[in-house]
Amino acid sequence: MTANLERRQIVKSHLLKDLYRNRVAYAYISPFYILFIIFGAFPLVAGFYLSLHNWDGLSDMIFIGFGNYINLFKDTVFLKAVYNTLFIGIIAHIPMLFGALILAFIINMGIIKGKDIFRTVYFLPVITGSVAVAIVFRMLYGVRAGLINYVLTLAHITPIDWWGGHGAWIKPAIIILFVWKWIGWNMVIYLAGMQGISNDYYEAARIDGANLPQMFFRITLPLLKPIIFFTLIQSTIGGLTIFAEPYMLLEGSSGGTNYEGLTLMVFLYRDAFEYVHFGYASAVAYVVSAFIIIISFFNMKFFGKENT
Amino acid sequence: MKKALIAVFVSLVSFSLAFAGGSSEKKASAPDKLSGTITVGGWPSGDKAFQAIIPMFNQKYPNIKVELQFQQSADHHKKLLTSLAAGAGAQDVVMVEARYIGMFRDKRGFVNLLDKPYDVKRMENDFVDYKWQMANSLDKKQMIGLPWDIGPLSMFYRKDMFKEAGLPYEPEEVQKLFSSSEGFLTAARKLYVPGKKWLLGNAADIFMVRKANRDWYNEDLSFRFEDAETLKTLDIAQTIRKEGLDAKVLRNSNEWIAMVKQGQIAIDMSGSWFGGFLKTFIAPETAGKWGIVKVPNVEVPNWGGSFLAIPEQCKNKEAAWAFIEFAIATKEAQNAMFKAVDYFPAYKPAWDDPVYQAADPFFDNQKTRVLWIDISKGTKPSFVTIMDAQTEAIMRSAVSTGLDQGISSKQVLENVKTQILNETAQDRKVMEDLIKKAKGK
Repeated sequence: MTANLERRQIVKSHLLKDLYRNRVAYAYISPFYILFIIFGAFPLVAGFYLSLHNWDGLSDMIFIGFGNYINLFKDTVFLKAVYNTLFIGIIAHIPMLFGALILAFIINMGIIKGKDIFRTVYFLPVITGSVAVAIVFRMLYGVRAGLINYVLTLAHITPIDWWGGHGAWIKPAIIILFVWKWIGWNMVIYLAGMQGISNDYYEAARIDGANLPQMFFRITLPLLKPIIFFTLIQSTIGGLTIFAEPYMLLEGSSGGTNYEGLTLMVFLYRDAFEYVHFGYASAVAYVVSAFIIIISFFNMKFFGKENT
Repeated sequence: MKKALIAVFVSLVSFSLAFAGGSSEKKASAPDKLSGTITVGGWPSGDKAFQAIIPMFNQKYPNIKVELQFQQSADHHKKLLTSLAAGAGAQDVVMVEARYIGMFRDKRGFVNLLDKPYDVKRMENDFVDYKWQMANSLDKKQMIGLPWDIGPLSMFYRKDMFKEAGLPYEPEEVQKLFSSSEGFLTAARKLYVPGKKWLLGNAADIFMVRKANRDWYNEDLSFRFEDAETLKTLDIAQTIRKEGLDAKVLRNSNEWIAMVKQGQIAIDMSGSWFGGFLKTFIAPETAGKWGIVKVPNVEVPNWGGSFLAIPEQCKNKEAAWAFIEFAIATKEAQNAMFKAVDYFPAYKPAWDDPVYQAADPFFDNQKTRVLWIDISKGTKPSFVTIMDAQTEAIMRSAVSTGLDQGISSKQVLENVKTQILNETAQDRKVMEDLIKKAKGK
């Protein structure tokens, strides 16, 4: 008994001595840990704790175990939000990632002149403010007074009923805005990745008589796998947490007609701040996190670190 | 020894009770003794209203400095909610809109104005009664805000557009025209110029305006939208949408505001405060072209209106209360604010002023205030619940989806009931418990 106690005391004093000996190093890395504990770890745990309760911010918290999670999966509006978010996330990212790859390839290969100008121009939407851009796009998408419908009427085409009917145009509206905004971001990342591919490969392929598409599919893509994996993870998180575009385009958290534009984050925001269901909204946040983890797991299986 | 101890204990207790009793008899401090800075939070045009009365306020209370912190209504209420939950960050005086009062009135977080030294029960008869009830908790033991204004519901219409379309345009005739659904539809059809002019922004508003006072529930939590009149109102909205007579734009969106400015939308049904919006930022250049009439077929002709409240965390409650009492429980201040922003006072003694008998040039010299006083007399009691915000959102979504897809009115109202019951289940239980507790007292 005393031997165990002594051993523990010895370990403890070694730890303390170690801390003291390296105190400068620990001091240097402490800002990160302090900030992480306050703004990262604590909210993570507290949020999960909150999701097991009902809370309106003013009264006491009422413990209901996993009740929120069970109710979520019975909630038809929530399920619709899941469908909407996955739909928008997947459909938006297919053209975005492919488009970004091709754009980056063209710029990298130097096929066209002025690659710096193009790089800047495509990246500009990324640095615009999401809210301001969404307001402008909302004006473009106006049914009566919108620019797009105005041009269509000039061309004698029936104007688009962006927000009405069965809400069929709501998702395309959000997707177009989303792709426009973020394609530059992925393009720049792929471009950086492509800079890292040695020109020798392309030289050798050119000598062997390969054309551009063959170079793209046989050299660039395989070597870019880790970068593509990175952008896929980013896209998963970005796609599942899309908020500014649907909220601003639909002018609030209503989600549009028949909830066609209601995404998970808008649903969370509405339930937390308009209906005052903080516990329920917290549960939504953890479900989204679970989705991100699951999808990233599958990403890793397909694109993860293998032999490059 | 024991007896001595008991004697000491009893004397200590009675000593402290004497002091406790004494301290609850707080006398209000003299006006120039009250000092400090108080922050007032709310949404436009409340800031313009307060700016109009701060000089008067400082004449009476020279040592209280008032700072205004104003933002959009939705943002203001979210900030208020989070500050109350966090226990810090709320302003000293806050505006609370009628739409949100149900969220707060039965809970902690605000100063109970029934307590001393506020003792607002003495003012009860001076305020419009349905507004007064809305801020009182179910068990009547707590009142969290004092009513500032009401929003007597009226139909604002463009006289010049009506004249151009060959419709009657003076208020008495317009009132007759709109008193039947046939008249409503005739007006809509005559005003319609495809692609250019519509009667109103959105057919859904016809239905939502009927419930503008957000009375979704009766006191036993049964629904207050199952009657024949409500069904008929939705039918009118359906017809208007089917014939393409509404512009299908969201009310209050940038597009809608632009269209009102351009004279593409002929009517809007709203509270009297809409007059202030028109005059200040929506379409001041259309002065003289508007008229108002009563909205037909409305249950409780009131839309919105706000309260002033003091969050419990306020550090200078006396100064905060001094401001509130001055601003909305005195004739002078209420009328100064009314002249500035058209917020119709809920404080009845204020109506005793010649400005309420005056003709308003913006409305082509119609005596609008006389009509609004008349409208505010025709209101029935309100029943506020914590499910109100969610119920309204669900109803709004169901109605706009129903109009967009041409679903029959009966089906819309049937489906929405199940949806509301499912989604508000937990809040409903809380509300039922609150009601039970209040009755048990």
